[in-house]
Amino acid sequence: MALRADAQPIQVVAVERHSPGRAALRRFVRHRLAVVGMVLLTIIVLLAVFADVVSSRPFFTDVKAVSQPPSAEHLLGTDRSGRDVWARVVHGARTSLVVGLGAVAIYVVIGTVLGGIAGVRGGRTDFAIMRAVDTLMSIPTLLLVIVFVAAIGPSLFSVVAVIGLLGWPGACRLVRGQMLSLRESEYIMAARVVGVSMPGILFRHLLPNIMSSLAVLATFGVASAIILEAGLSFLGLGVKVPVPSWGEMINAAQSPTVLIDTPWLWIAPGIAIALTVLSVNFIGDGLRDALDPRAVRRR
Amino acid sequence: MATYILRRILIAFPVLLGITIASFVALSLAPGDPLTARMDPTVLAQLQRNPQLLQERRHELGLDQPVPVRYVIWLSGALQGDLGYSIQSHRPIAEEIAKRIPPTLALMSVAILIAVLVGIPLGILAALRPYSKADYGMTTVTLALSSVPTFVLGLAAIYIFAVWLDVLPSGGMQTLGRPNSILDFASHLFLPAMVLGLASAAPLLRYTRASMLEALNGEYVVAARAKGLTPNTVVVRHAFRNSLIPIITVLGLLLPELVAGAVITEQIFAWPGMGQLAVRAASDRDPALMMGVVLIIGTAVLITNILVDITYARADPRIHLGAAS
Repeated sequence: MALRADAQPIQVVAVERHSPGRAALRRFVRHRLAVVGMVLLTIIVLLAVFADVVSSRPFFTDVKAVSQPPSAEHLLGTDRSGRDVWARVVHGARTSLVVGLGAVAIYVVIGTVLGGIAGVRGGRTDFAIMRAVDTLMSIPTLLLVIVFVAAIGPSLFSVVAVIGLLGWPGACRLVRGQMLSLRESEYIMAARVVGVSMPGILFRHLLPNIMSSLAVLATFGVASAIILEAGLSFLGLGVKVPVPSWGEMINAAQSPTVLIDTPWLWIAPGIAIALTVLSVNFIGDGLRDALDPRAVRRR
Repeated sequence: MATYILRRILIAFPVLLGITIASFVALSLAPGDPLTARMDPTVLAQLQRNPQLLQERRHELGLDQPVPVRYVIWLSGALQGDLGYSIQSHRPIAEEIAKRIPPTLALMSVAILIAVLVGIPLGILAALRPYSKADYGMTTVTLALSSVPTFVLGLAAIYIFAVWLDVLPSGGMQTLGRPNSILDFASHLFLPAMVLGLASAAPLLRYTRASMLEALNGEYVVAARAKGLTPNTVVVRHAFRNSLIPIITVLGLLLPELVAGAVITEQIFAWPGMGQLAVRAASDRDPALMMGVVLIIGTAVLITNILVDITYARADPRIHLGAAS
């Protein structure tokens, strides 16, 4: 709609000016599923942080109350060693969040550094890094992680380290691609002509431009890292037994008696994983729509 | 075309070498002595009183050599089809692996078939009515489906179909004591293939939808419609044909995920395939078995990658594989 020259002033006032950040925030808040995800995740994070307040003693084994169904005393029942399932689910959230955030933080840094080097240096360095990326990407991450966990032994630390050290190719490819296209852009050329130093260009112009794509990638990365940790712990190759982990709790359900007779043992952590991952994915979806100004608006 | 395939195969070798070297080095860093770890403590005590004997055994197995030498020994064995022996079962690894390839191939190919047959048609439907209730519902369901880990999905499926409704077997590949029948095999395959297939159908649906939406906006689609072609012809022969390339790319990218999903699905449904073997190798700390599994799965993934590239050229005549990139 063309703006008429004799448009009333009030209409002009109505056109607010938005900084890109404010505009992105508005788009995010309008994304209904993203807001749902944000609320859910906030609750989960709060439960994880105050796990000791909202539940008690995830390690305490009550031999007199083994495999109890949900009751007033034990909200989600007890497991085969008489441990409170609710307490273990809430404390398991800590494990999942630590793995998700820790591993992704590690690989986003590695990926950004390597992708930046590949994009800026080009030539042989670029070729070598990209072949490593191709190799890592063509092999199932779970298999690689299993190999490395088998080598260094399963523990919370090794799960974070292994996912962090093997997960970087996606971030690396993204940063390199952006670097390559941004390098040729006119405002970078302008910055160079004015005489801005290379690190200056990198930190003031290139990185801020990549941040939004990187944030989206990292959000989805957290979701898949949480699933990966749960899968590893489910296979008995992840977090070691006394540490509560959702995957490890579900591991018990591989025995038919647990699966059939005490379903609360695996349904509760199963729902916990699904809700956490779902809310992170919703947020990622919202972020992608909000941060990409070219994205087509939904409705 | 032929030269391109040849070049791709030649490039695949260094990649495979890289994967096996990295795995070998990682596994050799594992704490513990592969020789003494699996020994009966009484035998070990006897041997330790006689270090000479222990040293001889070590030398026999090549364990006193540095890692690079040991890798070369492993590689030359592998090239001749000798992958060594499993520490746990004491059986030749090549034999163990060969036994497990057919079940995994059956599971994965049926799962891919399900993913394609569910994901692509529904993706097209969603793209034909974008932002409709059906589209919105499918988006939500696929997001939910990709948020539930395979093993939770699998356990829920077992609980519903094998325990509650009691219509399908909960695991294994055949009913014990019953003659091999194709129907029995199919009933065992149904649940794991369904779980694995639906898990991959979700992302496939989303990419098909996005790719189709883009194709449907193309001017050639408008032209085809203006020409008076039936809606079906426009969608199938014009729009879908053009959105095939990104869909094939995604199928290729989903393959590693599918392998990972198979590892977990096989574990839940006691499906005697490669994935189960990989988990056993890891929990038994069996490096030789692990190397065998890595070699076979790595080779399989690289071969399928090449196949995906060839499919590109078949799907889109504009792509010339022979040309230097």
